[in-house]
Amino acid sequence: MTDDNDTNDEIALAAEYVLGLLTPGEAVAFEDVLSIDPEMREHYAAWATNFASLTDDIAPVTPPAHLQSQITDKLFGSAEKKPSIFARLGFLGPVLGGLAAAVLVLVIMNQTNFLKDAGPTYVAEIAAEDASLVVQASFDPATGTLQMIREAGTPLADRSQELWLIVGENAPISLGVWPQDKAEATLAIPAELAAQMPNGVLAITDEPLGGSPSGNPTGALLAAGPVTLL
Amino acid sequence: MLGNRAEAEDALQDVFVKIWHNADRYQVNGLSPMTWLITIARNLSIDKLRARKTARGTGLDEAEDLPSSAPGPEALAIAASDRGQIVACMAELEPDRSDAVRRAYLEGETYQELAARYSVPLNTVRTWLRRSLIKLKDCLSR
Repeated sequence: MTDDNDTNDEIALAAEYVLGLLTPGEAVAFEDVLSIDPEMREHYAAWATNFASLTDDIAPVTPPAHLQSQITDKLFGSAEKKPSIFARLGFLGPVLGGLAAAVLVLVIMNQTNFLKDAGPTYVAEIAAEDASLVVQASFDPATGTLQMIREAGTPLADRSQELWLIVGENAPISLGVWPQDKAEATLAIPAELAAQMPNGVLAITDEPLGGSPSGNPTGALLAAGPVTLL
Repeated sequence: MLGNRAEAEDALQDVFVKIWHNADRYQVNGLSPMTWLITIARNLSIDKLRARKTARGTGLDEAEDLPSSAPGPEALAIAASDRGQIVACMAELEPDRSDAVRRAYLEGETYQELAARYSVPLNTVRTWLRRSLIKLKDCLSR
């Protein structure tokens, strides 16, 4: 009986998580359980699959072609020398509902070779523990460009968010201040810092408007994430 | 879900950027590619919907003004196989309970919003929704 109740609790909790009904704190706690409990992962996957079917009623819409190039620009910068991966793959047909999209996912997954051709790319998810601030970063050593997209969290109106590179025990090095009122940022990383990027941790702190006056972090650490090879 | 083409296009871009960045995590999450993609798209859309609600300082009823979309031919074709079960099982729930599940998944309604919608205390709505979810699971495992 107790076992049944426990299982039911787990089932309900997994469903609440998939539905997005948990508080941020509960969701983080659930994700911790998810990472160690295979049974919970099964509940999660089953709910995600079942609820995903609820979107079948939504009529498919073909996105305009220009979105492709915008997406590749976001991912790889507008460097002309890199042909659009979608174009290279001949993926020019309309996205018909989810089926074609699923194919694209598979294609992307098989495309690590393309990345190798283009040289390594490093990524980092710079996130707060409670996901109140989440930034996806992608660094291309070939161009020294660090591209970032803020997926969650906005800075306070009269404060700035500053990005830091931390390597080992060294003092954080400022990479720049997040442009006010922007959800995306692109930073040019000097060559000497670019070389340290692969071993580094990217961190975001809360700073006075315009960034830290001292050159060292002065405010709270808001989010951090290690740089990993894609 | 977003009821706005420009916002949907933004979301689509975000979805593909996210998929690209998270492709390495895909194999460990146990979802089929299709489910994974839908889940990312749905979660991003819900984030945007919720941000919109917060920005306007309102919450309820807006989604009701949006045109409802009829399933297209593809959706219907895929639907025939998988979909039967969840639809049948949702139909076994009391109408307001299955409605609440749909609103949570497709419109991102929170317990607070559902409680206000059905004029019941938050804890009550949570209790009955959890019970309904367990019922739903029983039906889906049959």
